[in-house]
Amino acid sequence: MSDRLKQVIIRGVGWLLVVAGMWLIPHRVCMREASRWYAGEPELQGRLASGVEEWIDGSMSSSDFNTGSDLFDGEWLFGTYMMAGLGYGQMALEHPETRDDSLKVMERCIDGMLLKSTRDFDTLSWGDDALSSLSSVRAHHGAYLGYMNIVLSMHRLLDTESRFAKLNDEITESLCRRIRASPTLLLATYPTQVFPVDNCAVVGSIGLYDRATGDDHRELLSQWVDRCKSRYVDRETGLLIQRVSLSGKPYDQPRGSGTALGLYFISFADIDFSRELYSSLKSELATTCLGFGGVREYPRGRNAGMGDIDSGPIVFGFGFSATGFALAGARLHGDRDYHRRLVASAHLVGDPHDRASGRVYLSGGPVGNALLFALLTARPIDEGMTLPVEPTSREVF
Amino acid sequence: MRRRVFALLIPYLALIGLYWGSRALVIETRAVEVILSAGASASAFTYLVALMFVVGRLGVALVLPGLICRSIWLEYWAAKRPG
Repeated sequence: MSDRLKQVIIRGVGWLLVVAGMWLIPHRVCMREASRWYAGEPELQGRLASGVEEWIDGSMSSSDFNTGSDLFDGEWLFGTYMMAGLGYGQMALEHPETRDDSLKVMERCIDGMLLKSTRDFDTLSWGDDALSSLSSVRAHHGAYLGYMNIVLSMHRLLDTESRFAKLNDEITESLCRRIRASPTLLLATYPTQVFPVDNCAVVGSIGLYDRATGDDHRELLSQWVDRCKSRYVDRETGLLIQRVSLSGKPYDQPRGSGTALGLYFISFADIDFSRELYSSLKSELATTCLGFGGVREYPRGRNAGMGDIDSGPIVFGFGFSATGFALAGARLHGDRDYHRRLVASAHLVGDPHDRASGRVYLSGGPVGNALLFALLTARPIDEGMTLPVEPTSREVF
Repeated sequence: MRRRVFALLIPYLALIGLYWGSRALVIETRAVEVILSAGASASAFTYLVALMFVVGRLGVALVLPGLICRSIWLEYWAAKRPG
């Protein structure tokens, strides 16, 4: 063999080693905490909880967010309180010894959600205040009330003497009345905008309310789920349609972010429907790349949009939001292998920073950290309902 | 030999330095979060910090292990080469 050929081979093998190193090492390093997250280790959950608590206890306002839109800034402020509250509730359910402390922070989250300044984004969009118009069926306030009520119901589940019980009763009653009055069984997020994913939160909040109070809305919930499966789930892919018109016709494509978040919220009302959505998400959108889990925002072969505020950045088809939101579904439905890969992605992109006061994911900011807290602590609301889903992820390179 | 090892390590140390330096700036300025949420309205400095952080993070977490494997391989063959 000539020296030149030998050098070419040595260099070629060198570059193959670069690829092999990228393929075999990084995701294993990034998933080193995954088993602990999956097992719900209290120390790890507590570390992130402390980091999130710093945001909650700080003087957060919509000016802390920089989306360039007052509406989205307001949504993100509200979403930070909401997901943090849900995370604390889930942690208290999983680790009852943290219940008292978690309830206190959860109450601060609810108080934050109830502030007039936090409600402004919804009030300005609808032209009236969600909490002062609960007796009306005209203005739905679907997202604000649905997301608020899911935290109120979770709080009620943990504390039957919840000081928010009356509000929880009123909002649940109002949401049920509005669903029954709506020809599509959907509530509008804003006057002309209807998102099935937000309605999953509405319905999930009612399911959680029933668990907390012993009330029975099974007939309404079952009717809603049947309608959702027949009208708002894409027949070809089994994914949730992102947005529909006021008359219930598809206005956007079935997408990863909406499906991954929707299946999490609907798990509080119907774990079987949640599992169906997760199976569709796995078969249509879930892939791995270099061992990291990634969820596509749009199904293959569909016109991939540029994404929006809900999808977050889309890189090579993978949606940041869809990938993060899928963490909840993977844990809810016992998909341990894919959960590890998604945790690896969250670790790579989020870049966790541990300090004395708790953990912060550097890329997340308040809303990203609160989201991760809720998604990483998601669990079946009734233990024993979960069944493992066989991994069907495709390897792409 | 010492000079050779040092020359070999310089790019890797530079990459690690870029990552940790920009990480410290990101902790102070929340630059990545600002870019993700504010996009075009963010300042040039914020973009620069975020860019350094992303390059550093991906470089250190994704590419560095492979580059180190390659260096060890090439050094092994260089050491075997006569002279």
